[in-house]
Amino acid sequence: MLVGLLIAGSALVLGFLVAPDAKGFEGDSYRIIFWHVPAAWTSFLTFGMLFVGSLAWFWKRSEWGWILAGVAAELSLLYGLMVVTSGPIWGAAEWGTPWDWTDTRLNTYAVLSAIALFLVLSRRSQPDTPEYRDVFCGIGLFGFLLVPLTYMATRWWQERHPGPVIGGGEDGGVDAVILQIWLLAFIGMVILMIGQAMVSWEVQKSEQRLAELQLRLD
Amino acid sequence: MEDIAYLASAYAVMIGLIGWFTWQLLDRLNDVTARMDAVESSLSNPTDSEE
Repeated sequence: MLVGLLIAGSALVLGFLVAPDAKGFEGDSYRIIFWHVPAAWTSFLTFGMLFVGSLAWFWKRSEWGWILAGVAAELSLLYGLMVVTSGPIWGAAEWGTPWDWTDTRLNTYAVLSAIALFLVLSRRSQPDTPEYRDVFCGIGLFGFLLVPLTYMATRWWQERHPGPVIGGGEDGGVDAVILQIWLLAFIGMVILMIGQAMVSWEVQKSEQRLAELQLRLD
Repeated sequence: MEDIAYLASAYAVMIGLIGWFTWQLLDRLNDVTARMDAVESSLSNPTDSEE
């Protein structure tokens, strides 16, 4: 985790000291993107993990699938919150308004984060039954459907959110230095996320084992 | 608000979220480990737990 944080932190320093001013944006507030964008990419990975875990539970009734889905929901909430809090701050600086309800990208991503929040809260409050696991994983699978929709939203219905910079065609693209810093921050966040996932996996496995032991004691 | 204030508040929130999440994760790990040890010791010494 520390290694990931150091790499992401180094990218942040480079974003402040080395990155040039971005075309079309005024002032330094655009430098929020050096963590905002990699956090969004990392959240797509964690929603992918949620999809794999949920599918494994439905398909094979797999215990590891259930644990993976729980780990992924927590991580999706963390990285989702990083995106939905930093985005409006940049929006307030750049657009003069923190949110635009007509922008599809903003709204689908907010729904995605709300799904992660619901999954985390429900997992802590509901009894662990096969029926609850089915509901949890069903919502997890549905949530993943929003990932490609969110990713493509700026291509299909661009309103306020900046257009795609990778694979965005002739109008897309970004300065090479900015892209390199993004990739460095993304690598750091993925390493951090893997470390957090390993700890979260251990916690959730132990909590399940504890529940089994307590049943034996009762 | 100054441009730099937006930047600082965004990074403060993101760093705070990572810190809070990691702290609560490690806290839960310590808590569950302690509870596991307690349950396992009471399972291996059933007479102690009955006293």
